[in-house]
Amino acid sequence: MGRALRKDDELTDILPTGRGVVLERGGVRAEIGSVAAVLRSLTVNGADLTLPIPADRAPAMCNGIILSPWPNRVRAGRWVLDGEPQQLDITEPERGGALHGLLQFAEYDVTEQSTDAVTLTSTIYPQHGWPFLVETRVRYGLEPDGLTVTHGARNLSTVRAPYATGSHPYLKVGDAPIADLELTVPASTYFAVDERLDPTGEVEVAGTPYDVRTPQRVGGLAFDTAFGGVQHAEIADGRGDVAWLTAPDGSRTTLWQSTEWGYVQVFTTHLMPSADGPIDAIAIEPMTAPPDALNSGQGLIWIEPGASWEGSWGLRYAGGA
Amino acid sequence: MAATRTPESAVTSAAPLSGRQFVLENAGARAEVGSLAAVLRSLTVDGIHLTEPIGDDVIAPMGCGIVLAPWPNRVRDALWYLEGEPQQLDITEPPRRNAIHGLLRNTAYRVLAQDASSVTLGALIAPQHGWPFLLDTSVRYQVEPDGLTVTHGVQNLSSHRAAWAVGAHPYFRVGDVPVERLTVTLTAEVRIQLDERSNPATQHPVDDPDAGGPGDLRAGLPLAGLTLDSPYGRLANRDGRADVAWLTAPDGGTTTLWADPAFGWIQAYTPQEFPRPTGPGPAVALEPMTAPPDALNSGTGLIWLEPGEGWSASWGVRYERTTN
Repeated sequence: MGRALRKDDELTDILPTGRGVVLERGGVRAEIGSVAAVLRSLTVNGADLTLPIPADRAPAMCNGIILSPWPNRVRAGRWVLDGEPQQLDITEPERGGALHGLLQFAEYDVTEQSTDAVTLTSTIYPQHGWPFLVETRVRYGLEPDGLTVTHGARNLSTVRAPYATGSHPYLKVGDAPIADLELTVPASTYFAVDERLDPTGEVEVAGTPYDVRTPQRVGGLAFDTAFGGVQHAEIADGRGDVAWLTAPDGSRTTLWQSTEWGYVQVFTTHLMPSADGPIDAIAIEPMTAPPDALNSGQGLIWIEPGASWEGSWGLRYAGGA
Repeated sequence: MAATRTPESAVTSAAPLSGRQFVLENAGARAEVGSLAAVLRSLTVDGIHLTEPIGDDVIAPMGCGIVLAPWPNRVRDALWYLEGEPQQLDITEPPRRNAIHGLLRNTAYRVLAQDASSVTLGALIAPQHGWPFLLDTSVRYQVEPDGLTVTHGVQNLSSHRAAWAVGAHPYFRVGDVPVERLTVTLTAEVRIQLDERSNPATQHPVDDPDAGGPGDLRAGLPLAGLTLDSPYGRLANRDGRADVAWLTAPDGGTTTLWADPAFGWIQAYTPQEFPRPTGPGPAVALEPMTAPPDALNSGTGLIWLEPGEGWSASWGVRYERTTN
């Protein structure tokens, strides 16, 4: 037994977000970390599309992480499978629920890598409240104007397994102040929530403060809200734009989702930690299912034994006029 | 397919539920290890089981064989304080509202080194809820002709000092001898009484007649009818690596747990319904630990690692056929 201090030159390059992978294609650059397959940063010609994670920090407020095998909350961490109660670990003790899946702090393995794409995989083993073996993967691939993220899952159990997934990027439009951005989400419904942020019902956005089908200034919004009826406007190749932020100079960051992703969560905060103190931030989270889908069944994907599922979302940047 | 769905029984699968599998051999000794929680699935010497064997197709029942890091046992209310700041861990034992057995229970370790008789597995612990440290951890299983040496290692990759404790959860056997026919000897001089949520209450000398429960196991006691569920301390290894506990069979066969001084505590646990293919029955876990339960709050046994600092220590198990 013993203790030893390693010399500085022997220290590894493992950061709080894990081992890093840098992707480059033309003027597009992304940095990925192995823990939670996190998107550390994404830029197009130097303009930030996402809020970058400082090298020496863990992701604040879930910045950039992958949410799997469910996004958002499971009420009280409890759900029922074929009549049997399932008790998940409570990962949001202050609200008593299970939040953002099981891979939030897992280190993924890099299983494929090129200069402009990387695939990371992580197997979810049966555990408290989750009696399934599911191999999951995330592929980040750069595009000329942004990024395509493809989530995959393969059910290695001999019983069918429920699955849902999401991601938690905070979006930016270059250096434009967050409060001055205009948000558009062409969604027809939102999910009302109780004091523990668990859903109480899906409601039409018309006539409510959650109608962001026409652009709304982010500075005037206070959202922690899931949207449904995502319009997938102008669907092409099975994908469509579901939310975008527009800067005063007309530059724009757009979130698109393939049709498997029917939901998006918008979260605004004034309290995102930074080196200069709290700052404004807005998360726009692509999701395949709304909150508490393990209980409602809504949007839940059931993968048969041996079968696989795959779906994509992405970000795209367009400079101002 | 079992009718009752629990994490331990619900799933059969195409792939091993304990992750990637390793078979280690040295002379007549053999160990089987799975990557999930770096689980020790089986250990035999000349075909004699020294631990409760579990299949590769089950999730370790009752924690059988798993590594407990960066803390063994419970953190009360899943809450502790670091320099006055509350640290809220995930509640991983919802019925008792505690955090139990560390952060790597559902993690598949990666292989760092491997040869015929040993494997070294590694897992990163990233900063997370209630745990603001970045730790690179490892476990090395080395099969010896008469047993096994287990070496736990860690390096603090944080820019500040980090807390650390570690343990393991083996259930011991002496071959096929039924557990209720074994005698258990524990060199401990103190025992911690637990409260109704299995968190530490008070510490007593093992021979304190007012402390209740089976305390003094220094001269050995038959396991038949004995119910143990307590941490024991002040072991025989205070001055150097030593035997700290052993199980003896009527034929004189002995399975011995030894440990470095860093492993100053043993949790003794005797479930009566340990699941086996032949049906549930008594089992005995003797869990070597560097710290007692709730050490993140009491500070007892807690190891503090400076930035960049590494640490390692070993425990092991040995089989002897003695004459009596």
